[in-house]
Amino acid sequence: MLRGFTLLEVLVATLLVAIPVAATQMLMLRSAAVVGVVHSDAHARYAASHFVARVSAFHLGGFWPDSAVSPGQWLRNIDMELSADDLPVSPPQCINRWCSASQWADFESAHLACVLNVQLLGDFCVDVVGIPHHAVTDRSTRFTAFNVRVSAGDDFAVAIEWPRLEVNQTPSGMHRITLGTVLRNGTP
Amino acid sequence: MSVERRTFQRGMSLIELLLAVVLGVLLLIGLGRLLAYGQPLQQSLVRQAERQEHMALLNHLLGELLQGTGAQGCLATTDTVVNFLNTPWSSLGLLAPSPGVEIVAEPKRAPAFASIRDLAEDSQALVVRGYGAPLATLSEDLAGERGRAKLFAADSRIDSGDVVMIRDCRQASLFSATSTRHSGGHVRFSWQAGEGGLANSDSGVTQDGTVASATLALNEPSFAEGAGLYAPTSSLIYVAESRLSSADRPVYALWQKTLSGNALELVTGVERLYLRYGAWRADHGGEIGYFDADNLPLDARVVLLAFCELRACDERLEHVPQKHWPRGGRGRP
Repeated sequence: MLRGFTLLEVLVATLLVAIPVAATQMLMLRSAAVVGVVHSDAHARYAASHFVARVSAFHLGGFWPDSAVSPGQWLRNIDMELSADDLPVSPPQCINRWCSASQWADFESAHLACVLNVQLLGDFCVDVVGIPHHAVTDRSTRFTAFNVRVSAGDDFAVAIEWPRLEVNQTPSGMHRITLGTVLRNGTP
Repeated sequence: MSVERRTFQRGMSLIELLLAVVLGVLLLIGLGRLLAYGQPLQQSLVRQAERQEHMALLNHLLGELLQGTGAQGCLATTDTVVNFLNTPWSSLGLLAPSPGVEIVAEPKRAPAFASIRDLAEDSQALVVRGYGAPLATLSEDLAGERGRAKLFAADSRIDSGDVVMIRDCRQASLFSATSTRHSGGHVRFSWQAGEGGLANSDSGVTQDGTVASATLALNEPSFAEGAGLYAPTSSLIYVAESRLSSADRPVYALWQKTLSGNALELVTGVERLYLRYGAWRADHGGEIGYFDADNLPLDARVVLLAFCELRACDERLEHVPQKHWPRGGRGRP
């Protein structure tokens, strides 16, 4: 007499197959999360290097009087802290008009926020970024929450933080990148 | 006598079958999700890598181009640049050394882009002018109507008819080299006058109208040993239809066209280009502004070029065959 599998055998076999499948699935989900982190990291680094390039161009390209920049010092107006929850309501507009150094620093911080979160383009960043409203933007990487700290004194450093998301999309701590020289007290 | 042996086969019960089907379906769903996550993940990685590759290429290319703009070097001014060609300053086009960087708001109406077809609508363009390619260094003082220079590299050449800039830290001149002869890593050249638009005139003139009176220079003494000879490195950067474009699926791309070379498709999928000057002036302790092409104040000193390219959605490019850059260096058109 040929006997089929018992229910217990089928369950055990299924369990044995399901374990590696579930493990592989977890691996893939974790890989997706890692790719997301890499995307975010690359985007944050791009935003930071973009900010540094703009600041450096004006810092090095302008013959600033001593009252604006002391020898060996960075433009002190760009020393700032910024958070996604605390964006300037109406930043100064420096497109097609001259801005003082402090106005320009505020404008640059708003611009950095817009680079970090292009989702804001519609209601906040159109004037700041200054490109047509219908422009297609890359919405694949954006930070809904972030903190930015720019230190400008003897050294110049930009630090960007954003929430670390677990596989199930729940935040757990913050990712952080730093570009530039870390200040002596270690808190750029 | 034979004994018939009967075999009893018992199938699965309905409950067992249903359970097996449910478990199988669950496994299939799991595997399906696995595959569903895998493909976008891979596509996303490929897109990211392509974008980074394009951005690295553009950073390198634009950096190199902008380093050679104007290229008055230690002279640092265009006031003492003399044009010895028969063409007036206003008509020199890409052979003029200034303005080094010029944003063109409407390239379709700009003379520099007259020969370029299929320009994108609503896209700006960039003209980069300069003499940034070192050719040779004067090996003896310039005198009479002939000069001798040591070539900068083994493959450097100055042929008869080539427009070159000679400059030191006091002055610079544009002229057409004539009767060139190469030997032993050196080149002999002269600057005889001619009739053509790019031939030499008997006298040179600066942009503000001052006429040159010295030997191929604005002021005496003329160019001495050590002065450099440079080739033009001007380029147009613009958005036009890609080579992969078709009537039913238009695709745009970022292009570069050098002064004497063919146009080169740089990045496929770029639909528009927006550019802005970042400028500085000394008033009120230093002021900063970002200006569109038509709004740059006369007293502005441009220190930055804001470059914003807008790409087509990746989905639109999925069915377009992709071009790949050859490995191992930048091609020369």
